[in-house]
Amino acid sequence: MIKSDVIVIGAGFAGLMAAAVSAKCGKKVTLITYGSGTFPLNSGLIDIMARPIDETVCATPLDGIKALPEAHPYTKIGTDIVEAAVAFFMELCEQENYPYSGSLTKHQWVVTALGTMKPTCLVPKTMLGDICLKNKEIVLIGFNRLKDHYIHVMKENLEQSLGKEKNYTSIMVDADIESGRDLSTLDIARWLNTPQGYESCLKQLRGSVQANSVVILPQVLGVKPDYAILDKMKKDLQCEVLESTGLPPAANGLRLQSMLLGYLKKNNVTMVENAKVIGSTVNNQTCLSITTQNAAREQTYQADHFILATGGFYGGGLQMETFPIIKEPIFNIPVRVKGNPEEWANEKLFSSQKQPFAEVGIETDEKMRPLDEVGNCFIKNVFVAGRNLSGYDFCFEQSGNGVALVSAYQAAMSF
Amino acid sequence: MEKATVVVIGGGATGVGILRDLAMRGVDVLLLEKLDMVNGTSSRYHGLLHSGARYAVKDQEAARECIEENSILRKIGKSCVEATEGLFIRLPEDDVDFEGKWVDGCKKSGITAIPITPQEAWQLEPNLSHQIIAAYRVPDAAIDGFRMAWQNIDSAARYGGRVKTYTEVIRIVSENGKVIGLDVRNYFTKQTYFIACDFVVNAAGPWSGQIAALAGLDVNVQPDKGTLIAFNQRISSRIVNRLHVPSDGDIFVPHGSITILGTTSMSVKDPEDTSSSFHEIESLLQIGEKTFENLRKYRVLRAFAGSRPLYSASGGKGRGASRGFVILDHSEDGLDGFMTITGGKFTTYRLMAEKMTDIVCQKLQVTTPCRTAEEALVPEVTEAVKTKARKYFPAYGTELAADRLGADRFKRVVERLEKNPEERQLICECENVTLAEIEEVITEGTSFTLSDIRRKTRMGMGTCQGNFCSLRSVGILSRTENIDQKQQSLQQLQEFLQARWKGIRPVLWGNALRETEMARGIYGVGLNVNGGSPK
Repeated sequence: MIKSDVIVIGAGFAGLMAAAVSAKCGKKVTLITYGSGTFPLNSGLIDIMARPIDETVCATPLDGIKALPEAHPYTKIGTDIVEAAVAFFMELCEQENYPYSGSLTKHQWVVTALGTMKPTCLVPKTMLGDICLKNKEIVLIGFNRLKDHYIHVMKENLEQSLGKEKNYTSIMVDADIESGRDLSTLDIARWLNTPQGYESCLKQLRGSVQANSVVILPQVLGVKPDYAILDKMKKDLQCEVLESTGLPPAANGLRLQSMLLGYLKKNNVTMVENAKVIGSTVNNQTCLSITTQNAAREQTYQADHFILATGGFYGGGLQMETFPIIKEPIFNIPVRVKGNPEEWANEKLFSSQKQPFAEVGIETDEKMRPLDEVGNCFIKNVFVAGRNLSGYDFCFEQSGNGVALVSAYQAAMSF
Repeated sequence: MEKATVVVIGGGATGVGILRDLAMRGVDVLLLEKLDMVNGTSSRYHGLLHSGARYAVKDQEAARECIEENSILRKIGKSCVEATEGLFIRLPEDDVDFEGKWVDGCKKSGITAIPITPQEAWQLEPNLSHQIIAAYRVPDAAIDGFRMAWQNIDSAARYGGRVKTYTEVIRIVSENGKVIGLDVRNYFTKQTYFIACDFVVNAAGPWSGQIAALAGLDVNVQPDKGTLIAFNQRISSRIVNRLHVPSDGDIFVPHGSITILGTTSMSVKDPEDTSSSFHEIESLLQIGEKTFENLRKYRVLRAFAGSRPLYSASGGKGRGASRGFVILDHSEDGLDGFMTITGGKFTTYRLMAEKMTDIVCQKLQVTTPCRTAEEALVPEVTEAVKTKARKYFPAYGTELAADRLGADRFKRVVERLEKNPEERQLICECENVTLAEIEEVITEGTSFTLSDIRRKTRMGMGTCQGNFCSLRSVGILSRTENIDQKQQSLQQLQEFLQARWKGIRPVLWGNALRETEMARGIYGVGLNVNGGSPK
């Protein structure tokens, strides 16, 4: 029988961070994975807090956190821990030679694939959109045959978000990739990773791009968690170079994932892949073991502590087969829908208020232990992190990866 | 000044039927629609081509019209009709006496209803409830309302019939008790102008009361809202009806890879009210799971609703009011050159159009006979073009696209695919829609919004409900130069995502909830679709 100090269930951002923090504390960690969270969906940005109450963007992420209601995970955890979690993440990135930029006292603005600007907090160096504010020459790069990136739409909207007084130039690049199917940004990222691809791209840009411009590309600056292509292109073009956000698959999310997995390997985290946790053995409010359905057979894993980072409805950590019954499939932690069904969702998808369904999730104490219906501890040695938590709307607040980071840190530090 | 001999108001099935019929008889005709074609009742129903069996007890005249039109539409609109056949099943709670009356009614109306045993029914449709007591096979079929309407327009165009969308009629202009034209307003520019005509046909369905009121006339049309659910799978291969007095939630219609369950019936003040509530959906599911006991295991894709135009001289409502149609000649109300056609049902749209056109032609002294029942709506796609297309389409995409586009458009799309490899991109993976098809539809000049493209191509109507193709199609639409009144790209995208959301919100559980989290992740978090600026 395999026994660990900690078992982390889930390999999204919350799971990988929880495993990283636990390993850093010297614990023997087993990470059980089945999917990859939202890494391919998001652009590797760590949103922390932009809209705590209404549509107004708060002055700084930290100010936003202080304005939140009591039930919000950040409020429960406290700003000291938020700061410690951010510091942990920034140090980890530094150590892995893939440093992020940003702090809790200032929003970082990134360029989206629509040409809107988005406030976020911790940003890979390929996406520091604030540069656009200072620079007058903006060059938008598109790729022929890439169906997920439309620079004329970006231009139209950047004229609103950055102003018409800037000069916008559009350049289309031919990626000479032989492919029987449609191209994705990842195909182009892999192409730019090759010397021939990079040279071909550079040749097409040289001459058309003025020095000291801001060059904005889709997420194509390589697939590895380093800034080699970014730095080279900046030097070769004598320009600032940026990536925008985009449709999945997002190279930046995959770079973040790859960096974290590398860190876990170095820190001796045991990884069990493609193992779906199907149940748990709980005795006297204490979880003894969990059972997984692996490729060939069932397997049981024991640990002193368990971190549940299985995601929300998207990740499958919470399931709602019929309204209004919500199931947490591993420990059967109670999750309830409050209010009447007609108030489950706002009339507008993107409205001026948080979506009620988005705020539904597992209630916890300040140590991230799940609570039962009357607010008592449900299982003593299980800690919850990430999208399955209640009390926040990742989309409205722009806080998803931030809550994942902070709750993972707190969960891992609670025992 | 713009002119037409006849102006038809309303871009639903009845309107396009009249457009085609008048054009085929050589009349100069213009159809006006205040939004996009087929955005109202004709696309917001279950898509059932009635055999007439549903009306066999209450209204045998309607039943006879249905079975006749059913066989005509199969012939003229081959690619719009899926000949699924239908079952009528009786459950223990359904009145046994009704079965006898129904069998008798079918016989009198000329509808073939073949009795089968419950065992045979389960063999045909294994998901059916095991409570069935009696079952019959009838010649029901599934029909695509969008496609049928588009093919009518294509057919009319070959005879000179014209269409103007996003053109709302705001006044009927008359002189000395005779219509001389209409004032209209462009939806995007709000610009108003006059169109001269000799004759106006009001075919605005549940809006026909509002149109008649523009001429100071009173036409009592009660909009009756029906809510429906689209499931993401085919639950049965045949249409399944309950054998009882027609009621809510008792029809399942399979279409391609989905199934539609309908409907409710609720009087509403405004035909624009196409909202559906959690409560309505729950009650439909509760009735539906009597027919298919495992119904809740199927993924619900979305809910939608439309308004039936129920005409009553005396104020009857809901299922009590007649589903037959009426033609009102308003010269009897003192206004020459203005007629209203309302009521009816999709299955009999062609017949309604024929009757209306007969009267208009008589007034115009046009003697050309009606040929809409004989001539196919669109020519068939040839095997040669399909063979070419197979090189570029995913295996099963060729037939789908051929049916969806019709011969002429399909040929042009295949030419694009041959010439320009870039246009082979699949923009909507769920529904297999290529860039070539979207570009082709855009050049026709009647697509101004993403929803307009969606209705013509099915882009965004599949499993992911637009999560991936929304950004792509706004990219394509906004780079097209020759579109008048193009909206700002963010507004386009917001409106499109909101329109998709409207149908998802009342079914927000299971995979619909998962997709919503993803949609918010992509468009809310990743793309900040509501707009933002550090300034």
